[in-house]
Amino acid sequence: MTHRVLSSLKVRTIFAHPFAQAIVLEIFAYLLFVYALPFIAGIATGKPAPTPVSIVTLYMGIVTVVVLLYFSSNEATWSQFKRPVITILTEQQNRTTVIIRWVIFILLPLLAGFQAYSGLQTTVEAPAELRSIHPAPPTAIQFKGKTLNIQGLNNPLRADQANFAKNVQAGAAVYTSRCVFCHGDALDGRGIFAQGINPSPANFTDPGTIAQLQESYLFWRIAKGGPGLPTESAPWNSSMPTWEDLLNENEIWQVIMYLYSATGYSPRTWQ
Amino acid sequence: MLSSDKQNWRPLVRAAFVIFFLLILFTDPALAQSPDPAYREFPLIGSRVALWLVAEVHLMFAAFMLGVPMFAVVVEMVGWRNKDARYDALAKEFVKLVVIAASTTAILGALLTFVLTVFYPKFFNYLANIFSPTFIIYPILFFGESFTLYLYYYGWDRMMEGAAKVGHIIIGIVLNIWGTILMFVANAWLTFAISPAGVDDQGNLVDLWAAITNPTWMPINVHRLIANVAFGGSIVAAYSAIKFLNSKNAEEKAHYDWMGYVGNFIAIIGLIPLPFAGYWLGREIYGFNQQMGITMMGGFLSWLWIIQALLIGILFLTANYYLWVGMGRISGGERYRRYIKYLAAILVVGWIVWATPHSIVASLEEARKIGQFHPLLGVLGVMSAKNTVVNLMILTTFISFLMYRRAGKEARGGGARRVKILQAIMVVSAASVVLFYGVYGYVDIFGLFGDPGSGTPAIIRIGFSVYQVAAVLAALFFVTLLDIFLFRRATTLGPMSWGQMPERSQYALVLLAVTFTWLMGLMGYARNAIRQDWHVFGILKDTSLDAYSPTLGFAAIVISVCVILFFGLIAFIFWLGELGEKKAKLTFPSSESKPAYEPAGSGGGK
Amino acid sequence: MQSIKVAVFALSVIVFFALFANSIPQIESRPPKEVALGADMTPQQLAAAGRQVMDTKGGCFTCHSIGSPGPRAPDLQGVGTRAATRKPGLNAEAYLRESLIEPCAYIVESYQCLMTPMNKPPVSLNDAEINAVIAFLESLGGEITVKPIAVSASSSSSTSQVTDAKTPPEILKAMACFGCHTISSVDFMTGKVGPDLSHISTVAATRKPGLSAKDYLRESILDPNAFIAPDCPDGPCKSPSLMPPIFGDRLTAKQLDMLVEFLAGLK
Repeated sequence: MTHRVLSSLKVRTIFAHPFAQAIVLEIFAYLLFVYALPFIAGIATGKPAPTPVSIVTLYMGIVTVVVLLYFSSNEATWSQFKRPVITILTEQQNRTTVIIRWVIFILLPLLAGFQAYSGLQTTVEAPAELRSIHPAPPTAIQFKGKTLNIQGLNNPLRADQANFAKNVQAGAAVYTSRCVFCHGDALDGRGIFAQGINPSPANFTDPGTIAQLQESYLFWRIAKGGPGLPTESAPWNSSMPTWEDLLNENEIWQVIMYLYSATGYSPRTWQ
Repeated sequence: MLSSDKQNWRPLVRAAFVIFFLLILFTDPALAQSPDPAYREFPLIGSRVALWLVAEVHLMFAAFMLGVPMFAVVVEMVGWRNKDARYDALAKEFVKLVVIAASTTAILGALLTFVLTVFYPKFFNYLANIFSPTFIIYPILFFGESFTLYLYYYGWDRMMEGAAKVGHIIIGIVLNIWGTILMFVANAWLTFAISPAGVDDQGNLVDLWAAITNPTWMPINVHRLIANVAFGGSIVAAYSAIKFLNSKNAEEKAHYDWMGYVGNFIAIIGLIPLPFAGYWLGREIYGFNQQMGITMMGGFLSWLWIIQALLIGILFLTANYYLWVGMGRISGGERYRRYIKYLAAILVVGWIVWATPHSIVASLEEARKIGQFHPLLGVLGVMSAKNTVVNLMILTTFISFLMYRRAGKEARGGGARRVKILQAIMVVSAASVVLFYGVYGYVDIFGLFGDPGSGTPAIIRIGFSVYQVAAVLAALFFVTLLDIFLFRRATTLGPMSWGQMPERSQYALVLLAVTFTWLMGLMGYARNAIRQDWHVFGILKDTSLDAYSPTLGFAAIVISVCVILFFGLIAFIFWLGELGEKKAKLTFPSSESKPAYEPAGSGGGK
Repeated sequence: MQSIKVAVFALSVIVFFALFANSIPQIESRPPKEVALGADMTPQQLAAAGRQVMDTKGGCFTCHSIGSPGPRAPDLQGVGTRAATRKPGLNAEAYLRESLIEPCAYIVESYQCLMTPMNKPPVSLNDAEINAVIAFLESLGGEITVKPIAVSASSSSSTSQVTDAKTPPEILKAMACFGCHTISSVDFMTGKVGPDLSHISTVAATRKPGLSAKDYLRESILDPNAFIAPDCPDGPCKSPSLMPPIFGDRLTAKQLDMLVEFLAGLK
């Protein structure tokens, strides 16, 4: 009983110390930015969005500056705040403190070295860019002299239940003759040419690609390819060719049906 | 004194000679080569950077020279009305700094004309054609300003008593009138380049007065007037900080602590209305040319506002920090200590919101997860959120200042409590108005403009910031009014220990000055970069190699060099000024009235 | 010592600002490029060039977009169809031209008039570029009816552009004389705005007393307002003259002489 009272007292005195408070504040802020913000975003929009590293760095910098200023705005608090740091740097008698000092003195350069190393190391990932990943499709496109309203457009072949298997079969034929080289046998974006393409060809088995899109979006991307992407989301680099000159309307719809059928996803509907 | 008087005239005479020489040089037909080149190349750094450096450093000196006399006169009047010799001596000390800086400002101005005429002859000729009458008035104004300044400073000790003092204050006011007109004339030239008016499509002059009063002229005038005061205050504060740090005894420490406090106070007073003036300027730019406005806020320059957010955050925080630390030297200040953490929390949130960019830098993987806009952070990226937090930060700074003001005093009487509650209600309701319109900017809660819960139309949303600003300004005004009334007969809780400031508070003052100067350089870049590849927007195209606008990183380096040059020069001339003074003191033992160093009840201009 | 500490502190703050400014995305703003336009382009090429003009010199997409209505400016998707129905009596081409040159003449509902005239500074598109932009806009849901014209000296805003045209027909082409005048012996001279010049030398000497045919022609080229001809295709020519008084800057003395000589030979 007495033991518990003592330990709780000790905890309280530790947290009364400004240095401990500062560390708690920093940890709290970090947890808030890295975990709580995505969680709140998830509640608000149904899709948790991570806080980008660049933003976390910026926010943590601001928090650190203000925390330091707050604790240094009063003479008494500031000298109390500095004490642990000064003790660790200057203490001669207490063995534990000396050991902690050496651990810190060894860890700090190592940490700095690691930072420099990981900063200089080239990664396979493309550098961060300012661009939107899913550009907004146009409301309508010109396809072989005909205007197709992408907005609200459904796959006309899907209504034809009787010929469903036949259409998927035809789509598979198109896929193997045209798409397979980049998008791969397993529809995972790892075809034989995929190595040379950056960004890599879309992986249809990833739930983040075709499963999120309407069929007409795919139609637009297949028909117009990389050159058809809007300028407002530049810089855009997509190696997708413009297929409108090589495939007819039916073939494009068929290959789309094949993609959904083979991956097991169903297209997003307009409702 | 007399001998040093004579010496101080020399730089002005020298500057006049330089200007005269340059005028001769450029009216000399031998120099007019044919065919006339539109540009000449400055060796090594290029014409643009050369002009940039000279213009910016000149501007910084000019801002100092125009800003300081404005509050020096006010401080002198305060000293005169309250019969407090300390304020009088302080005002004189301020003006001394201006006198020292005057000749450098003039020489830099001459150098600017020189660079412009030699390296941008076509551009200069065009401006000269439009503004030739003002080119004649300008030197006259300049000489008027200089002579009034010398009269003001050297007449100080002889015009101390009675009617002579009133006459002296009038000279001070006249000095400011000269300075203001001078700046307005110079502003006409540079604002004409941004938003030309009074000319036809081919750029021929139709109406000189319209060219002068072009759309951005008045907003820039007002913005610069306020900014000059804030800038002057911050430079004076930094000067005092360095003197404080180098002080040998408690007396000097106390004096420079007080001077630094007054400088910082003036800087904050200037800082508070500055965002509103900037907002007006921005609106006029949008009004003049939509495309220019978009280039500024959303296009090529959009990232500049992230840097500005960093700088403004530092300014607000440093100003607050100085006040918080300052409470340590007031007995009774500890009563307010516990509120500081909440103010710090508001400032953190405000700064974070302001610094959140509209388009976020994200790695490929992150971007895939987030989609086009981050659901939470995307909301913070737009103007509505920024307006809201800047208003809240201004209110917070104001509360810090109120706390500082009250730290050493206690209002008496039964009404005091009620007045305090009234003040609290005012501040809270202003904050509520700000927050309400901030949220309303996104979601139309009550369905006033359409379906409840839908977005508020952009046109209506822009108007909201006016209500926010009005609420904050009203709260500032009325709370201050009540406060003056409330603390007129307050009891003092204990002595104010001037000089008992930790060193880091003085570094805060230096940080304030450096940040302010750098911010001035950045805003100068923004104002010029919106013209893009035009010398005079829409009329005179820049066809030189430097027609492109450089990246922010490059601009930042040039700005940094400007700031270093400015501080290097001003430190050097202040040091020179002191050298002369020490000699004078040795030859003529202490004729100067000694400032009193007794603790003051409450510092500040009010 | 204290001063040195302050100096180091101030310097490190400045360096921090410079580093921060260099750590964010860096963009340079380049002056817009001129798009090459010729009179012999196909409608598709013209539309593509128009798109390029809109991207660069026109700066249209700061406000407009294709496929989504912007907060400041209407959606351009399908404007080729809508343009014909906007104003009674104006076909698509005429409506689009009016919208570019006089943006406030018709304002699409729920928008304000924020656009600047495209043929005036600061945008200053020349007539050829305006035609290209119209072609592109027509291609958005409509049919391209507008014809390409070469970059005409008269409408270009930039200062003196002397061409290196060496023969009279080349000069006529470079100065875009064909835009207004007709000369039956030169195949591309088919303009219907100014007087027919096919037989100009027969009347040139009688126009102004005391002026020889060549002097009259020279004066008319350099100062079109000196004499307003009575024989434009739609009746008497307008005063002041529609012909720009700029050819003194655009023609070399040799070219001017060559042109006067050529015109004086048209019997």
